Amino acid sequence: MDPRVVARVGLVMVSAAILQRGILAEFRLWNVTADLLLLVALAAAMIAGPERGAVVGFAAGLLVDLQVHRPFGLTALTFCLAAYLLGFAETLVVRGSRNSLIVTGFVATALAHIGLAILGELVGVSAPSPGRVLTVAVVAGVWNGLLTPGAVRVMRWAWQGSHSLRLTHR
Amino acid sequence: MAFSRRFGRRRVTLVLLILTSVLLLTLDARDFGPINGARSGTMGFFAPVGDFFSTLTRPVANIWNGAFSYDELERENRQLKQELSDRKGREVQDDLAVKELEQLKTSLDIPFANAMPSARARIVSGGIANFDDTVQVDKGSSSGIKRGMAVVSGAGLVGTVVEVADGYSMVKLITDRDVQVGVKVVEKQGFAILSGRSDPQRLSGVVNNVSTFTAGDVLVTSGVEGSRYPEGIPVARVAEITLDEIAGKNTLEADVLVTLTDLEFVTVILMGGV
Repeated sequence: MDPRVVARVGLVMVSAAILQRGILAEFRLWNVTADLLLLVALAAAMIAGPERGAVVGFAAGLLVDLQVHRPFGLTALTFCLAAYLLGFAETLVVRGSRNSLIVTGFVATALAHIGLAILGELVGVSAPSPGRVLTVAVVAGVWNGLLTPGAVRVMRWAWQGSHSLRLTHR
Repeated sequence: MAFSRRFGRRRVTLVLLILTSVLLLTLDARDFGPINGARSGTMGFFAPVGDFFSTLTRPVANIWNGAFSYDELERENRQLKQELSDRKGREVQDDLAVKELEQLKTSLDIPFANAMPSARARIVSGGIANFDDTVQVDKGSSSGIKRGMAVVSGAGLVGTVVEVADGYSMVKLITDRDVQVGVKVVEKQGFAILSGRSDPQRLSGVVNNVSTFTAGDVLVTSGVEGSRYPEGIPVARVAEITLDEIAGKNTLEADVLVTLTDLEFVTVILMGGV
């Protein structure tokens, strides 16, 4: 991978972590916040495909794991799988409009949060109540869905110069 | 052919990443030292930056949270009025209730913290992710804070220190799903273990002796041997006890005394810890 792309993606991830901690974590709805680092992973999958999306998802997840108190590697595993599956699904469907980006961001974020709760249970973290998981999935999905078009734009900037860009019409 | 080769490479990458994640999970489960070091280092970097930005955005965030929590504030207000009315009635009717009220007043002055060495700290940011019931405070190992120490506020127990850097610490709130608190009712026999469920203000636990607990009772830390919390710290107020006939168990639901979503300062009790 082009070192400049790596540097730009790294910069986007660190900036997302700072924004998440300093700003977005303060703005909560039903005690649920947007998940910018997950969004970075999903946007990478949309822009650069499942393989690179998975790598970015893994790195973004590790950055979260370093800042929260849950089994180390759990978020990395979840984000990596979410990004891979989204990237793979995107190869099978016709790419659409800005609205479809929002819907994709919503669905992928909601499923990633449900996946996080399930994987957490598998590695011994007590699961929250199903109602709470659903609330978090839906609200975080809405937050991230609304932010997805912007995230895709930023990620396209980060990946510029790379030969295998997708979503060129977006 | 080319598609198949490319798909195969993708799968290899994915499998490698999954294996790495599993390896990290295993190392963390074995309390691998470098992971804790990396977490402390990351907190030392991000906490001051987050503190700076959250100081700038807090006024706007307060307006935001006030606007979206209006119903909740109104409900809390009604509940408080109801509680005050109940307590006034009981004061007149029952000497025992008066005694209980005195005990509550004493506990609100947090003598538990006054009698012990402590460090006052400011909350610099909440948890960054969902399902993450932690906050970060602006005091760390340089103030004598260690992992496992209890954290309280004027109204009661807040949580436990789980990560420590030089000038910052991470506190896991008692509403976290993996935190368990042994509690009892003042001057009554019987204990219960409450745990969080990622609900911002609720704890729950299974109890055997239902008669020990009644709605409205204030639960304090039991301080039994091996407990990480000193005895007598107010934790929650019993909201309801429900019987699950199928499972044959009584579930106790309790409302946390401290409003955890609206904290600014906390006190770390400098006892215990590792």
